[in-house]
Amino acid sequence: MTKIIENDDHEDFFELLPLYVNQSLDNAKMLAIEKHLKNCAECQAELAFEKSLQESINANETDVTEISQRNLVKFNAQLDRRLTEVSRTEVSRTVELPTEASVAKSDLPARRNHAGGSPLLERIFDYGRSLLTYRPAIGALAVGCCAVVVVSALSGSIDSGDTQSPLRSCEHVVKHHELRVVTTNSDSVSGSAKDILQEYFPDAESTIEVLDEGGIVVSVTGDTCMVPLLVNDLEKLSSVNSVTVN
Amino acid sequence: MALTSSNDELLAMMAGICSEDRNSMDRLFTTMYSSLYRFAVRMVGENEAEDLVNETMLEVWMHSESFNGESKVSTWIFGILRMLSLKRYQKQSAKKRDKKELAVHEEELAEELAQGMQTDADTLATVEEIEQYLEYLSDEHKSVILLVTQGYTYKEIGVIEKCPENTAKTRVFHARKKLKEIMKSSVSTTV
Ligand SMILES: [Zn+2]
Repeated sequence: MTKIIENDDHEDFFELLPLYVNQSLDNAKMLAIEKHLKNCAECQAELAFEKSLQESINANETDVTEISQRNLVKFNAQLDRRLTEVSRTEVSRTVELPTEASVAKSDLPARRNHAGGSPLLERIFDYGRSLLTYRPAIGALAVGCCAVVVVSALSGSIDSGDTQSPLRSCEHVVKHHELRVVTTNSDSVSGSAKDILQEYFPDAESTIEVLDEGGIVVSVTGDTCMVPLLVNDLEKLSSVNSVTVN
Repeated sequence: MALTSSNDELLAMMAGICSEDRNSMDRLFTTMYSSLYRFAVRMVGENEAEDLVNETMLEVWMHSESFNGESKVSTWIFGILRMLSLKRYQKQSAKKRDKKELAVHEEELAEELAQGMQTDADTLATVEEIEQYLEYLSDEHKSVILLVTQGYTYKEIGVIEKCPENTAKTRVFHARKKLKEIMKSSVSTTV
C-alpha cells in the first residue's frame, strides 16, 4: 500500500491539522488524517484547539458591504486620477509635442530611473518574473497587455477623461522630491499641503518649510509616480500661483 | 474556507482587467473586498485597513500583466496585500520601538488578557480574546495564522509570504506554538 502522507508518522499528521480544519487538503489526505486521529490523543487535542482557533477568527466577521461600496467609489476616483496624470506625463515625455499638457507639466520630473527603484515593487515584480512559466492563455493575456501599452503610448492621446490610458509604464521609483510653491498665503497653503501629502505619501518622510520671503517648500521622499498628482492638487489651491519641482 | 468566487471567475475578471476593462476591476474589487479587508484590519489596524486594500487594488490594476496564472488569483492578490502591509508594519514598528511606549503597551495588554480569562488554555473562550492574543504575535506569525483561516495551503502561503513551502509549514507550526504559550502565560497570571 502506498503512503499518502510522508513517513505516515504523527509529526506529519500533526503539521497538517491546520489544513485539515481549513479543508484545503485533498480527499486522500483528509481520510488518512481521520484514520490517524482515531488513535492519537495528541492530535485530537490539537484538532480541538485548531478548530476553535479558526472558528473564533472566522466568527468575528461583521458585514463589510458598506465599507466595500464606499471604498469602491473612492478607488475609482483614485484610479482615474492616477491614470489621467500618468497619461499626461507619459505623452509629454514620449511624444514631446508642445501641447498644453506638456507645457504645463514641463517642470515635472519626466525621467526614468532603473537604479534605486522601490524595493517593495521590485519584489512584487521579481515574484511575477519568478513565475514566468506561462500557461498559454495567460501568456497570451500578458502579451495582449503589453500590446495595449505600446499602441496607446504611440497614439499619444491626451484626453484627460481617457481612463484607458497606459499607466502601466509609470516607473515606481522612490526618490527625494522638492517642490517650491509660490503663494500669497503661506500659512493656509502649508496646512492644505500637509493634508495632500498625507493622501499621496501616507508613510513618507516629509517636511513643509515656510520661507521668509513668502511661499513654501515641500520636501518628500517617495514614489515618483505620485508627484504629478501632488503638483496637480497644489496647483488647484486658490492662493497658489505656481508650483515647480526641483 | 472556500472563497465566494471560484478561481475561474476571478481569472475571467483578470482577463478583463488586462484589457483595461474597468467593469472587471469593479467586480474583482467587490468580490475580493471582504477577505482582503478582514486580513488588513488585523495586520495594520482599522485606521489603515481601508487605505491598504485600495492601494492593493491599484497595484492589481497597474501590474495585472505580471500575473501569469501560476498561482490562484486570490493568492497573487494576497501576496501584494501582504507586501504592502509589511511595508506599513515596518514603518509602524519603527515608531513603536520607542521602548517606553512598548513597555506600557505590553503591560496594558497583559492586564487586559488577565481579565475574564478561562482556566483551560486549550479552549478559546471569546472572539475578543483571540483578537487580543493575535496582537501579541509577531507580524509574520499573525499573518500565517490568518492565511490558514482563509483556507490557504502551505504552498500558497509560501507564495504569499515569498518563502519556500517548508518554511511556511514551519512558520505555521511555530505560530501556533507561540499562540499557545501566550494563552498559557495569560492564564497563569490570573492564578
Ligand atoms: Zn498524532
